[in-house]
Amino acid sequence: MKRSAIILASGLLLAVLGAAITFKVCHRTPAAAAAPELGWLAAEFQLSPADCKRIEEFHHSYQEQCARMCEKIARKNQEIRELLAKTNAVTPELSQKLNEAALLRSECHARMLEHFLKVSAAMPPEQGRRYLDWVLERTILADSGMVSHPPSGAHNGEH
Amino acid sequence: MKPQDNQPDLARALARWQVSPSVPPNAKAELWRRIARAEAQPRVGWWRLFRSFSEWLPTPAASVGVATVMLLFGVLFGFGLAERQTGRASAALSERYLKSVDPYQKVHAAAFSHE
Repeated sequence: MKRSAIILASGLLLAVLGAAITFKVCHRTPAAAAAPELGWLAAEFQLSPADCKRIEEFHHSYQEQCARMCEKIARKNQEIRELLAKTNAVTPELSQKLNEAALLRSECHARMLEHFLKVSAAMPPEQGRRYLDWVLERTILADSGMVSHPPSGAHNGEH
Repeated sequence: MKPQDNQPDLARALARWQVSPSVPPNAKAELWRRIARAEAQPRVGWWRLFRSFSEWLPTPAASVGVATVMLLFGVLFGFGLAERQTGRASAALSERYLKSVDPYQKVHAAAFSHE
């Protein structure tokens, strides 16, 4: 009985060890600590270190543009919100703000597309095409309303 | 001769027939002993199964087999867990990348985090 218990305990220990070692070996986490999303991009689209470096540079220079666009969008959204708080009709002023928001959206989309094409061109051709399809489906082509699609699907159907 | 012609003889023979069973002297005690033995044994077969398993386990073939199965189970479990964790991390990072390149997603996420 005692020997059986020892054998079973050893078996359990082996199972735990096997699970831990396999988990350690198979669990992949992107290495880039500063921008882990770029580490993910490199792993997902099998980028070489040189491609990765170039894309990182594009990404960082685009971040400034992106931040400026974010400010503009937030400001425009606020203006529309304020107008909506004052009226319950589509006034000429509100209509103009909506037109400005649409123009801003189109300007944003043009900048985004420019960046995506640049990143795609820095990748190996096959991966570049895959990246472009992937990113367009989730950004520009996913947009259908005033606010872009929910980030995690948690707010589906709200807009 | 018809079978009915024999009936009076058969009836007479049956009337004469007597059975005198011989009961052993300690039959009652033996019966109680058997009942007690049956009650002392576990009703479910699990204990017997466990006993035979624990007797079989220390044999070399059995212990190697059990260790192998458990190791395999552990490896499969670890692999499944790693795949799941990697998938989750990958989904979170792809979302993070999209937010970093799409100002609308960034503004939208910020608006929801303020609410």
